[in-house]
Amino acid sequence: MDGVVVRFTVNGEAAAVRVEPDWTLLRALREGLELTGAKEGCGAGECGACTVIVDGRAVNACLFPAVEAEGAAITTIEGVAAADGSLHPLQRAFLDSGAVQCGFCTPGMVLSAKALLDRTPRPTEDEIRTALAGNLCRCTGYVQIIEAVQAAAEEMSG
Amino acid sequence: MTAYACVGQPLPKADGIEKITGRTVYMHDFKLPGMLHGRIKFADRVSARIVSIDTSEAERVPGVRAVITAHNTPEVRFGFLKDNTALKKDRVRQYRDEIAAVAATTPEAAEEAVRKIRVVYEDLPAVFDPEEALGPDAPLVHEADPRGKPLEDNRLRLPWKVEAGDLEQGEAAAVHVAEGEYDVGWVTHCCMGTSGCVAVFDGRGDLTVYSNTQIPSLAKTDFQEALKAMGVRGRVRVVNAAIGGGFGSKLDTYAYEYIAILLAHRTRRPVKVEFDREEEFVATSPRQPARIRVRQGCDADGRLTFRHISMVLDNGAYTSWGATTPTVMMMPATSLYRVPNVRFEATCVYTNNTYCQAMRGYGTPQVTFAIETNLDELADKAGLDPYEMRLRNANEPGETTPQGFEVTTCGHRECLEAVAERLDWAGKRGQGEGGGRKRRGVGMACLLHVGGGAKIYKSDGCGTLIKMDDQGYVDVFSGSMDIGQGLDTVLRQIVAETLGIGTDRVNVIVGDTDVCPWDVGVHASRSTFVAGNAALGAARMIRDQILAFAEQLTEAPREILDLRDGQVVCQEDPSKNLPLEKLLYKAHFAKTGNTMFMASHFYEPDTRLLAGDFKGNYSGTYTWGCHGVEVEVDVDTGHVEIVRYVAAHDVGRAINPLLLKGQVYGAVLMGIGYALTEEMIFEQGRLRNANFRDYKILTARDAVPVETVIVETDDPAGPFGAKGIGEPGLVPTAPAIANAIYDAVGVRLHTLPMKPEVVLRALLDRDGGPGPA
Amino acid sequence: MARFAYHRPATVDEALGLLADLGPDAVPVAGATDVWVNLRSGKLAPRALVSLRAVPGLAGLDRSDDGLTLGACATHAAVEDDSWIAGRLPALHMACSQVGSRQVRNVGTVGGNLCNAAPSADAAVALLLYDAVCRVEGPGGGRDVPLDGFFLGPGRTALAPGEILTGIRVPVPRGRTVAGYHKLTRRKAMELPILGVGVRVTLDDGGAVSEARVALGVAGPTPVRCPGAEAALAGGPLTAERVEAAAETAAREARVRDSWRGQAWYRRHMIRVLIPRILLGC
Ligand SMILES: Cc1cc2nc3c(=O)[nH]c(=O)nc-3n(C[C@H](O)[C@H](O)[C@H](O)COP(=O)(O)OP(=O)(O)OC[C@H]3O[C@@H](n4cnc5c(N)ncnc54)[C@H](O)[C@@H]3O)c2cc1C
Ligand code: FES
Ligand code: FES
Repeated sequence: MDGVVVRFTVNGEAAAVRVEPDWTLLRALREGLELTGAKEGCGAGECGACTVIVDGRAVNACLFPAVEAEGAAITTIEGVAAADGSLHPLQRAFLDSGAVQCGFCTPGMVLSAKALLDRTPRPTEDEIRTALAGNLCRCTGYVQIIEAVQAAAEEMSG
Repeated sequence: MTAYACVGQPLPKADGIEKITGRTVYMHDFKLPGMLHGRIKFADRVSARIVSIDTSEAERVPGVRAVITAHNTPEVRFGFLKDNTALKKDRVRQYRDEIAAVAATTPEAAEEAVRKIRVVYEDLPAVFDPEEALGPDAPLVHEADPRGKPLEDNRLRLPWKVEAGDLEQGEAAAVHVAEGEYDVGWVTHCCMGTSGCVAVFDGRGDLTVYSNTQIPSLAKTDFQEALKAMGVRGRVRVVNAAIGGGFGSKLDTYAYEYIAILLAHRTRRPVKVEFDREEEFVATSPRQPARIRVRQGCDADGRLTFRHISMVLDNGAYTSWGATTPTVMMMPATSLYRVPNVRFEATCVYTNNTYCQAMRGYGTPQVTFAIETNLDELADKAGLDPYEMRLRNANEPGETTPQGFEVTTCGHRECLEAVAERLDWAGKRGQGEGGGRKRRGVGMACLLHVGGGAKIYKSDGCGTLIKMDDQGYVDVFSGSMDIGQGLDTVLRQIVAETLGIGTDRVNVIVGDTDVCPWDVGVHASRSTFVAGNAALGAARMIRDQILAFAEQLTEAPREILDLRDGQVVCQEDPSKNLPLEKLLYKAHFAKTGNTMFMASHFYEPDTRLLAGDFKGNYSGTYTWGCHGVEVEVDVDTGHVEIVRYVAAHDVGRAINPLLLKGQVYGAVLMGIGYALTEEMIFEQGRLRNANFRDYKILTARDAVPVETVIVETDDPAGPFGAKGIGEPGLVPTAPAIANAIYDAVGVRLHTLPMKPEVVLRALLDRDGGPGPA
Repeated sequence: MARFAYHRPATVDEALGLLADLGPDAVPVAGATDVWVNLRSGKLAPRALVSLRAVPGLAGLDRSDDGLTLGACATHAAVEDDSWIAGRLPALHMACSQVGSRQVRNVGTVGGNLCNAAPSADAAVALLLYDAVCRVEGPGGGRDVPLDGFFLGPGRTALAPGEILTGIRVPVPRGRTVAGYHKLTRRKAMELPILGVGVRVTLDDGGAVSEARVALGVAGPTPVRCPGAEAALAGGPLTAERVEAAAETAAREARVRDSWRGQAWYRRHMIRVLIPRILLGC
């Protein structure tokens, strides 16, 4: 395979992945690095299952050209919990609020919520809904997801 | 009611940590060494004769290992009437027909090869409207039945009819009658994880299918039959990966699964077929559409005297569970409210549209929209408050319904009252008309659903095996499946409660036909009830074994022993209390008579198969609910905003209120989508909106803060009193909203979705506004 | 997906050079939210993509008393997060804030929205209200193209082969101004508009409408202005009659169509309803 090597950091660690120019970041993460927490639910930017954080912003990895990740700092669901495995307050809150059913949307949902809280530690309910609107969930009706983000925000900002 | 240690606790979902950290392996993530990627060539026409299929160019694509068609593989028939085949030989009947399939070393190669398959068609006439398809000159979708017997028309020979009481007498007794036709179209499951499977044969010819089915045991039988048709002697194992949403979409086996099997057999390699989103929309089977006529009447006091429901169902080109939804529609048709004289009849018709399947509610959302909207219209005619009308006719505990359902517990009235109170029904109803652009109104609708399984298959049972190790850890092997609804957690709670141990000690294993017993599948909101009872039965056996052993050890009589907090507790003499682990150790490593505790239980609800005259008690218990909604309708734009939503459900007992609420919230939003935004748009059999931008499931910005009211009726047949709750939450949503729209602006809507342009059109038509030109 | 080369030039000149060398098979790409979807569906099969993402300066927002200059690669999110824009160019803010989802807005650019030239482009409709001017660079040098003349048809713009959009100048209206953008959708996010309606009126000291702009999305082959409606608004005080007359004119002018996404009568009717709503709040 010819391709090019893209270097970036994932979850704080340096990574180099050989990709083809037509690869998405999603493919680089899933196939190149076996980080399969990000999912492909549509491949067209419409469901958010592939959401990861690139340089502080939530993006659809399915529409993000892999080569554009050069030099970026990327967070995937695998890097949200602490290194010792202790859960991030958002993850804890998702569990305790019943925000996880089939779980397919969950990684993307958590990352959209994290990108929000990283910028806006005390979001309004409207800001939460807006931040999550690109993450479709067919199971939960979002009620407990919104509650979870509120609970996590409260906990994190003391 | 009794207080419990584990049952009734809002425990987080057992597999939640795996999911929240991204570790869970879905079919999407699943791979095997040497695995090939399968892809399907779907039809380019909606109705045609297949003249030729040229695969030569596809075969030359580098990486391609096999290209199969009906011409180079054995015929594999499947489906409820066996009118479908994995690959189509000489006839195309719908756009999703599978013409050929490819297995290749990469998905890209498979895709390229599929693009290079050349098919020559000869177009045939097509029919898309079910009523037209019933006409004498309609083109035949199937010229012959699966056995080769010629067919004369497109009508399916299915006996969907039930009648009780005397309809004519009921008509005669009616003072007020409401009649209407209600049209509900296609909507689809939209599981966030798309469908897929991996098929692999071992050296002996045994087949393993890694799948995301909701019916591991029945799928195994289906695949075993396929092997027979293929002349393969092996046995079948079905193993499930985590499921990215079910909602009924995986209650039948699909052509893609048989295609994966055929490709795996041909290549001797594992083959994965996984749908992309467009294929998921196009090639899985949606909710059954229906055109429903309702006529019902009441006496001067508003008591229902009769109800007559008839409908035509667009079966699509092949037959799956969609065609059987009438067997479940009968339930609310005959038995929601007390109606002495009822008739229900349904006709299924072949067309060249997509064929349908089960989807959450299995027919009840469709028919409940018709019944409950019509009931509001009847209340109007009778000059009654629709709430009062509903109360007067509410179902009661202990009644036997015209269809023969033996009602034990029934929270219908409580649900109605809870909704009326929470919504301030008396204060809000009838305030809508008047000035202003935004008018508010309230509406309600009820539901009846099976709450204790549904015997629509020869067995409605579930098996469970339980083993306990010598440290007090328990493995529960259930035939059922977790599809996100929380079965894993509920079974933990039931077993832990029974054995007096912590839920962290209980491990639930599902989704492997080699280790888990038989179960009919995750449908009919049956899993908590049926799989719960199966687990409860097995856990009780272990409990008995432990207590019997404890009796020997402690020399205290069995009656005063109990299992609690990880101990054998002697109620009269606490000094005889014994940690469970100690007892288990003693049992396993005794000098003689070594034993360990394990048990198996197959639970079959005491119910009658729904067949023949379609009468009899086919569920272990029934469940009721009432939804109330306040809407705000913008009369200039037709937009409907949900202001408040109350959902009251008779759940028997909430084994896990956290997960239970999740079921209700999710179902209600799905129901609101059904009511207001979702529709599959077919033009001449072709789906136009096969993506999430154009197929409008609701987003977090649209989410509605549902107020749930849990009515606990403690059902004697349910595990710890529980009834099913998986589906009910979306059943009455659409009619509740329709009725609220009427209260707000005075127009009756008989089609779904009630999208803004539909509401606006109705308002303009009523007010003589500008026409559609 | 078709195979192609992916170039990441570091300057505008380098980008122009690449486009000139590679010819018509090369496609510029910014946020890729349109490009990638089209690559995947096979609608687009270029030999090369020339990304503008690594070109410094193209993503900036430059605010001054005269107005705003948006780099072509400024994202919708950058506009959404900018309170200066929200205050002075509210219709643009409304439009950009409602594009797709936050994830799409985080990478999708305003320049891409214009160059993609979809009839449904939200930002395009809003920018038409503000007399935005496109800064275009090409092999033959730079030029300014008023946005009003930028769209030639669905997916077609005034950009010549080898040219790229580098910036968009948006003058801030002088005088008391009422402006808004209404995106007609069925759900509250993740939607292309069924209809986009933008209106701006700027009043003189005497309270008469000195400048009026009406622009529509999904009401023709490109985002369009409605000259008749603008004329109907201008010249007098902002009365209900004036507004309704303008709305009626716009509804008649609009080249709305029947499609499975929305019917013509509905779109036309909503033009009539939404223009007064934006201007009079009713
Ligand atoms: C899920 C989803 C939802 C969306 N929702 C909306 C919506 O609500 N409203 C809306 O208007 N759009 C929407 N879009 C479309 C898209 O996101 C926007 O049009 C966006 O602004 C495009 O910007 P981009 O930078 O991603 O463009 P790209 O995809 O990079 O490019 C788009 C086009 O413009 C050309 N181009 C880009 N930049 C330049 C330049 N500087 N010079 C010359 N040519 C250039 C490209 O060659 C291409 O033809 C949506 C897209 C997705 C995937
Ligand atoms: S997979 Fe990327 S948005 Fe759906
Ligand atoms: S939990 Fe299943 S899609 Fe969100």
